[in-house]
Amino acid sequence: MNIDENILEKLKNEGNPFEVPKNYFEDFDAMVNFKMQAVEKKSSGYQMLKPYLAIAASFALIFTIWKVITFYSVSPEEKMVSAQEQTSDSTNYSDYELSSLSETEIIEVLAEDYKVEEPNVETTAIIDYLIEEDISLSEIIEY
Amino acid sequence: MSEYSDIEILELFKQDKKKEFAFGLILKKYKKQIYWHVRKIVISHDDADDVAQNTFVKIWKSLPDFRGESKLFTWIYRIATNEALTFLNQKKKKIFVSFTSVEEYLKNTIESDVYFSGSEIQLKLQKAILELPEKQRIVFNMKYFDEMQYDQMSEILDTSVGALKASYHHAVKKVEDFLKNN
Repeated sequence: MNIDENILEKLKNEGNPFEVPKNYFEDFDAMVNFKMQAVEKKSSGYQMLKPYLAIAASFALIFTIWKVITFYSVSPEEKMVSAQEQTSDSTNYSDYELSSLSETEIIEVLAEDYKVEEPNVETTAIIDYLIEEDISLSEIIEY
Repeated sequence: MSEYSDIEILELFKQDKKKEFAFGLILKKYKKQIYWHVRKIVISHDDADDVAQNTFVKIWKSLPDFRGESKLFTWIYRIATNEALTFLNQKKKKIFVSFTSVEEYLKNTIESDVYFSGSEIQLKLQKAILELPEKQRIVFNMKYFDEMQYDQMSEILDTSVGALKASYHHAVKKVEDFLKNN
């Protein structure tokens, strides 16, 4: 077939190149009805669950409101005490004990708690080890 | 049975007892037009079948809310076009591993489709159409194959008549060039 200026006009007369299975359009209505029933069944399932979901949501809402009310009904001092109780599991210092100490004393006490134990190694042992391993001074400086 | 007008069908749909009858009339009147409209967009029969069925399910669900601001015909075509484009967008996300683009996938589909019996030049025409951008492709199909009026297309695609004319003109040029050069 020669491709000329009127190719599109000519091709129009060749008809529809697409096909459908036999009796497709006759069966189409039934297929749509079947799909519609499936969709309605699915949505009716949701409709059945709807009241239960609403109850569950109500309980969740009540619980949230209760939590919010109890949080705001506690005074700031009480909140501070409870926060201290939560954070000072390892060091139970009472308010009295802390108030009787100066700032530097408090720092010393806290530093004592978090003090890292120094290894109990003799200086001569370190020197012996360095000689044994043949580690030079420049290597130590490098690290 | 004489064919009911769209207005008569809508009147029937408003009566509870005649809802299903009215929907049956819509199916009878539009199923072929909608199927072929969708088929030209998604190419494969199986996909067109799926999209066309979904379109009518959507029509059934949305018809109670139809306010008659547009013609029933326009409204149905708009739903079908949206369903087809949504389908292609979903396809784009799924097929990116095997194909570089959805157009490449569609070209591959048309070549292997048992329900395509066109001649070599018709196959070439379909490939040329698939080279067009998505919106231009729809405009070309609606005008060239369905011979739809520009004002109807304008309502369906929500685009001005002038823009549609320009789009169709460009599409024709591109298709002709493709056919000449390939």
